[in-house]
Formats: sequence, C-alpha cells, structure tokens
Amino acid sequence: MTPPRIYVYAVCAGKPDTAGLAGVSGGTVEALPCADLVAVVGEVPAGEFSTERIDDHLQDLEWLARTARAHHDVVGAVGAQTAVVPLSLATVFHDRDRARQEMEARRDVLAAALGRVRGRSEWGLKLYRPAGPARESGGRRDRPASGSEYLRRRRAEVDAARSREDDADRAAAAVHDAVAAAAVDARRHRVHDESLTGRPEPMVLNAAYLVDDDRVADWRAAVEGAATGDLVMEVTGPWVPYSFAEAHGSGAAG
Amino acid sequence: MSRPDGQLGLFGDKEVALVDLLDRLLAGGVVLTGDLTISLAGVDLVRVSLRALITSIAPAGDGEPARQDPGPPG
Repeated sequence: MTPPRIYVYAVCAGKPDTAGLAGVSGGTVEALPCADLVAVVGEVPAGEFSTERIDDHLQDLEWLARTARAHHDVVGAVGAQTAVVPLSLATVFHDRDRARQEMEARRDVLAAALGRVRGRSEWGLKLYRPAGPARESGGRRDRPASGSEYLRRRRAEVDAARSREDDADRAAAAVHDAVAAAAVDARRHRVHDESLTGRPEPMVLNAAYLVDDDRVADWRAAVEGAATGDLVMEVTGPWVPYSFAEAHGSGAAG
Repeated sequence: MSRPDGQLGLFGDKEVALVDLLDRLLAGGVVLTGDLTISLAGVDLVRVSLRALITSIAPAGDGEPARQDPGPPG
C-alpha cells in the first residue's frame, strides 16, 4: 500500500497543541518543526490526493466542501492559539522531508507573512445593490403614442438602470475606501454571481480587510459610519488571515 | 477561529458560507509548490461546478427570463 501523503495546513511561529484535531479525510494533525517555524501537517490517503484524482475531486462538490471545512477547522483551531499563515487548499507533499524541504526553502517568505498577520484578523465585507424600480417612468403605464415614443421611453429605462449601476459602483468604492482606511490592508475578491449568492440583489463589493485585533471596534465603527441606505451590507469574520497570507502588490486585486 | 461576538445586527453569528470559505481557500493562503497542488485552472472549474450546483438546486419557473451567460469567471 502506498504510504500516506503529507497535507500542509498552515505555518505558525509557535508550536500549537494539535491533540484531538481531526484533519482532512479524517487524518491526524501534527506539528512539524521547519527551521525556526512550525508547520501544521497531517497524513492523507495517497490515493485520494494524487495528481490523477485531484481534478475529479474538484468537480465533486461534496468532496470539496468536506475538504475545505476540514482545512478551515484545523487552521482555525491553530489560529486561536498562535499567529498563523494558512496555506492554499490541498498543498500536499510526498512525505515529511519534502514538506520540510519546501518550507525551509521558503522560510523568509513565510516568516514575513507571519509578521504581517500577527495580532491581526481578517474581516469580510460584501455589498449588494438593491434592485431598482421596475419602471423609471414614474409609474406611467399608458401606452406609448408611437414607436418613437416607445423607443424613447425604453432608452430612458436602460439609461436609468445603467446610471443606478454606476452610482452603486461609486458608492461601493467609497465604502471600501472608508473601511480600508480603518484596516491595515485590504483586498477585493471577485464578486459572486447571483446564482452563488442566492440573493436577488447583484453583489457590487466582495472585500477582505486585515484588522488589528485591538482595533476591531474602530473598524466596526468605520463600517457602520460608511453604511449607506443605497447598499445592503454583509460582514463576515473574524477569519484567519487567508486573504493576506501572500504578499500582494495592490490593495485592489478584484 | 472564534465566532464574532455579535452585539450588532450587522455582525451576526452565522455559519461560514461555503462560497466565502472557497474565496479564501482558493484565492488566498500561501501557495507553496507541493508535490500536488490545485492548479488555477482547477479553481475556475470549482466556480463552474458551484454555479452548476446552485443552478440545479434553485427553484425553477419563478417567471424570471433566463439570464445571459455571465461569461467565463474572472
């Protein structure tokens, strides 16, 4: 039988207590010292985590959801104890030596990431644009007198809808700037399609903010201060700093 | 990670949504060259499957016209 592979969840500065943690695929979780850092790793079945199988698994939402939640649970449990830099989903090595080798080669990058997120958490903010009125003609429902009148009204409706979208984008950018100013760093994720959000309102902002743990109250106040009746807000968090694990050049990737 | 303390309506305690988690797990996290890692192509496949799943479980026939194809992710 093929020996298990080594799944790497996260890197931390101190040695976390991993006793009793269940990992991906029900595997055990352990701390693996790498240079002066500690990797949180676990064994996973080689058959499940093979190059041949992984693309199939990605198409399997049940597998993906189970794996993502198990990864998240381990990273969260470790993050509650010490500064943690999570790794991207399904980072897998043939054995502990290969994992240690790669961690040690990237030691400076990982240490810098740990320094960046220590004492900080990630918060999420999503903004939605409420659907506008069905008609812009002030409720006027009389039949257009002519074809050109119909076209004129139709064009006005399209223009009004476009202008609502532009207004919402501008308002969302203003909220993002205000909320980012109360954070250490900010990053925009892609907005979700309505089929993913399950909401009728289109999403206009999906952003993450890195916030000092002792300044969360200020950040919340900034969110509430930036609130506008024109946009629906949704806050998530605190998260371990997934979105800020990698150094990135610009605050607006989205 | 600990749950938000939730004194404010806006900061309510909710289960982490899978789609929010995948945003972070697939677009975030340190990327190391493992012996097996999810490729970027894989990430887009994930979005396609999620969309397909949610479309397939969404209630049908609510009178909405079919939406135009939003195009490839990203």
